[in-house]
Amino acid sequence: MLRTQAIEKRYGDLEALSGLTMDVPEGSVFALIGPNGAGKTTAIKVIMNLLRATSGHAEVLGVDSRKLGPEQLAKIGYVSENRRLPEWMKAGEFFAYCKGFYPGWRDEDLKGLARLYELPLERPLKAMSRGMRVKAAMAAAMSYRPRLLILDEPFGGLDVLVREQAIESILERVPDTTVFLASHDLAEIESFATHVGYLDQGRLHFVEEMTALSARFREVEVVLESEGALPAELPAEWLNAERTGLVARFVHARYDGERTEAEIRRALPGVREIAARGLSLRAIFVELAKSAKRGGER
Amino acid sequence: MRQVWHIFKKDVRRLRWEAAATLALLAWVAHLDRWRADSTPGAAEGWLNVLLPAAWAYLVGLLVLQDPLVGDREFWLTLPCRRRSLLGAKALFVLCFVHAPYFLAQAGILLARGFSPVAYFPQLMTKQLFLLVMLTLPSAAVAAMVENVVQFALAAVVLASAAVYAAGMPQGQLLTQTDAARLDLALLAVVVGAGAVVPLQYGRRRTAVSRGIGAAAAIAAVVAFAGMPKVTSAEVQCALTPLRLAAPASVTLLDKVEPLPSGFPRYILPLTTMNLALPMRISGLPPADLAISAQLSFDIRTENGERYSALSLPYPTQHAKTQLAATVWPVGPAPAYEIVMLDRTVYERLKGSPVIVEGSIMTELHQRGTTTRIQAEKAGDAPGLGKCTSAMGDGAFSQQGGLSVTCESPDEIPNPTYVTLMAPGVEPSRRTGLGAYGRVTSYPRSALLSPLNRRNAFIPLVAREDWTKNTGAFPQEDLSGAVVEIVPEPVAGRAILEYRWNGVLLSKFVVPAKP
Repeated sequence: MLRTQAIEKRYGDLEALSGLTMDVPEGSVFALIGPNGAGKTTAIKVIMNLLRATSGHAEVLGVDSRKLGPEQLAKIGYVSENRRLPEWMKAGEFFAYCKGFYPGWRDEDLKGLARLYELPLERPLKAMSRGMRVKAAMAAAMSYRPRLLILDEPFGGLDVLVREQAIESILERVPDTTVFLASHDLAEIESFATHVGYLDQGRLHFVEEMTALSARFREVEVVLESEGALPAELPAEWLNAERTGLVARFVHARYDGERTEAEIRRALPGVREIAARGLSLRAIFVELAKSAKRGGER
Repeated sequence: MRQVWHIFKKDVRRLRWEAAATLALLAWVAHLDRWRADSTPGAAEGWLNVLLPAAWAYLVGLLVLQDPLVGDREFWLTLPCRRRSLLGAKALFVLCFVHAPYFLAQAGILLARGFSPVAYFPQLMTKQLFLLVMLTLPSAAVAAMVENVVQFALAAVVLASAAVYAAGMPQGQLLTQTDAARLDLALLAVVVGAGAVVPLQYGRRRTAVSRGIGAAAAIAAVVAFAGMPKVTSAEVQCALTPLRLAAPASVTLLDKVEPLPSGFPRYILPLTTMNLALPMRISGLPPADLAISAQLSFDIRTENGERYSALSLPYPTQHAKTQLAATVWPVGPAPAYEIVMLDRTVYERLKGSPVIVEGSIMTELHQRGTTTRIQAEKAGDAPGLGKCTSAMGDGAFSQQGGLSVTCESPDEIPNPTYVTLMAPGVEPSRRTGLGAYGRVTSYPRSALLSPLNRRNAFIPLVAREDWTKNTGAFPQEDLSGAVVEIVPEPVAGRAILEYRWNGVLLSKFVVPAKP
């Protein structure tokens, strides 16, 4: 459905993307997460052929993204908060204009979405709030039932209720569509992403199914018999390790039950008790970001 | 085609008021043009000839920037829209709201002024091509390379300033029609650049490459216009209208120095400048009704390698501070002198020993066209000139009470075209040139948008008792039986004549002080 191969994008000395390789399976909801400036939007622009990669390439719907033509674009929905819409148009005119380009356009889908999103068709886009404009763009992008829906930070301007409404509408109205979503707001994607990729400073740190990701990240608390400092060398999977009195805490990036417990006992002498609990996607992201920052400081 | 129409409708909806404004301006200028008999437009028409092209350029810029080609945030970029369709829609808009209305307005003006638009269809299409090359294509190219209207306006101001600056540079001044090739070459650079940028941007959106091409074209145009040596421009012009010579023509220096003729121009020069007059003869040119010559280059060299090159401009007194200036005199029909202004210190150094003089002259031969005679204060058709009228009017320099002769044609009116007012018993007849009197205005006086070329001549009238043979006027009482004779002198060909005179002793040719 969507594949990237060693994409690099440089702006002079700045490396916005570095060897981005990933595979978005058909039917998945793939969330590309990362902090602001991680390179998510750049990646999407390369995928949509809005930017030229310095090297590497992307393949979208089986076609090299540099050769994306009307035939492929008719099957791709693209919504971005940064996109410049023809703001002089009224919402109704905007939809009518879009309709002229998509053979698969369905008026009944648009009507339903416009009703759901409470879009005023007679209001010019420039007179709408940012959130309302995003909803208009989403309504337009879903009215032709695209095979691939690419969303770049789509929910930034939406309040919680509207965001939930938008997510639900995607899942309900275009259930067969592959969704590729870039966001730094993890709360908005946790409920519906099936796959997640973590991008930071242009590098893709991992790509994983959500279930596997939730399973392997654990917050670990270890109670020790005596006070002292943590060893200088700890396994790389132990993120943000710290010790307070008898208790050591860290996030294990590859938690694997008994094997991990054995690893802890080897690394920390005098273990009295080990407790591990799951983390929300947001907590995983925060820990990864902290860890990256510490690594950078070191 | 469906997408072309879809995008076109969107652009019409968006730009309907702007397009309507340009149509209103066009209607206004067409109305003024239709009723104008004089070669100089009135203030409103003069300004409209500037304002309407600017409005069209703005409209074309806005049109292209409805779907900008620069940047990666534009909505249309991810629409399943064929680039050819987008370009087609923009072209259709320009056709419908710029070129077609302009064509119709021009055809209407021709019809209203007694010319058949069908007969002059090629001339109308030439005007369309001119509009495309000068305005719509460059405007579209600039808009295709910028992100927004502000950038477009800035780029337009920079390019317009460059054009004005180039036109103001000494080499860029179109002093004679024999130097017109530089403008043609500048336009060629513009059309090649713009013609490359527009399809490149619409086809592949290579902005950096396009901007490089655009900048190169702009620089090439400025260099061609302002930087091209006068000799090169003349060579191009000669290649376009060559003069067939059976044998090479020659320019010889006459040894015999005779007293200067009475009309010889004696410039008021600073004391630091010497005035020389080198008598010359041009031979070997085919017979022609008229020959007009212009100096292209003039060098003085010494035996020991010193070299002085002249600024060869028709008005050497403006360059009196320069070391050397030269021009032929008279400009037509056959130059008899090379008039030289030489720095006195240089002259003092060179006067004692022979020098080598090298130069080149461009000569333009004209053949007499069909003579037309019309009654004074009447109108008539003039072959090769269109329609001519003569009527009482005022002159360009506040002269009152004279005969104004105007010819207008969709074709270029030959320069020169002579107008002679003659009547039995009035000798000599009064002769002047069409276009010789251009009214001085405080507003732009160019009427480039007009489908008609108009030229005026003015002959002052005086009461018979005040008339003498040398007043340059015509006795008013004889006007009723007078005839206006109009003779065009179209160019037959041009040639560059080069010469080298060895052993010239400059001191022989010093212009004596006026007695």
